[in-house]
Amino acid sequence: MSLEAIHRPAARRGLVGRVAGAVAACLVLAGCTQEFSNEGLLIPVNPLCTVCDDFIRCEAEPAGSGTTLYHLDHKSFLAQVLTIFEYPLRPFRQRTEDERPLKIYPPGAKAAEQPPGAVALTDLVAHRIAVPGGWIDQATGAWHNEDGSLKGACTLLPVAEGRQFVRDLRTPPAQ
Amino acid sequence: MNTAVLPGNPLWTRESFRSRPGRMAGIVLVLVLRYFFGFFFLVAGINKLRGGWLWSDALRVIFTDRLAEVEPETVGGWFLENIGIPMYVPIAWVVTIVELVVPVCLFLGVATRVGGALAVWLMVMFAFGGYYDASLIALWGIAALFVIFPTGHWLGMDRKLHQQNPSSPWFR
Repeated sequence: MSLEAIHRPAARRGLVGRVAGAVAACLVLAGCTQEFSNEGLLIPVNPLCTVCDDFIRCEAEPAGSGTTLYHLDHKSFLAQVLTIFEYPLRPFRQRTEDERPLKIYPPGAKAAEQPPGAVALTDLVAHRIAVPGGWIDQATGAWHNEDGSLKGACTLLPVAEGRQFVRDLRTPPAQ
Repeated sequence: MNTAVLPGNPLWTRESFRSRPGRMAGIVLVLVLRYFFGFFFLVAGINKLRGGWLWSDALRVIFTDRLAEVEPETVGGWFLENIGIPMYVPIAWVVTIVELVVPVCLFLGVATRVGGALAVWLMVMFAFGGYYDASLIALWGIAALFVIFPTGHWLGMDRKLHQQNPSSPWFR
């Protein structure tokens, strides 16, 4: 019997053992993964969804002083592709932020404003959505200025209603 | 002198790396992608088990939520309403089992091409089911590598099993 033949089963056992160990480690790590929780939030936004539309309608205080619609749009092509790497890394690195392209429909606007680089940045720990000029408390729906003062209140529209809201803005009133 | 890097497979010799470094670099890259992809599917499969897909209506809730998000007139909207939600139990089982079988194939290099084909098929179904996003394009491309190339012959059990069962399509 050659020396190689004697060593081969041991080498194979070693390889199988390493694969089994890696799989076991994966199982343990995957089992420890924390899930994102939107439970109890008035404005839940799924940070794992790359092709979702979310519409947040904010009413300025005092009542009747204007409605702003924030449209959290689909993630960019590159951001969608990069989720491939994010997903298996979740057991090792918990995300604390999520960024989405943002369209803003200010009071009276007929079209979306999209300032360069406008994004909605969701703090997944504090449950706040930062938008240009302020932030939204996902738990209470309170709409704040950058200095923390109260600006108004926000609600999450059902997606169909949000899309209709945007269509209505664009449609000229019938004569 | 024995130059084998991995015993039992003539591909893994120092001479192979010296004489055809580009080819060997490509083989190593595809194998790295195979293990990465297997890990990706394993995590996905375990998450399905942890989410109780096999013994609860978790998938029905997910489909119902998704139906509210997609445009109703799209293929995804039609699929969710007419197939996904009414048949959520068998779909949950198929998705979970495939997501656990594929990593076994890819980690062990057994029926590797079949595993890769299963992964491509499942991800095409995801796209039809209203879950298309650009990451699927990259994942299709990666999984296609395991169908096109005999990666289980490079590293895994396919090489040996194919020698023992040359007519079997499972280990090609």
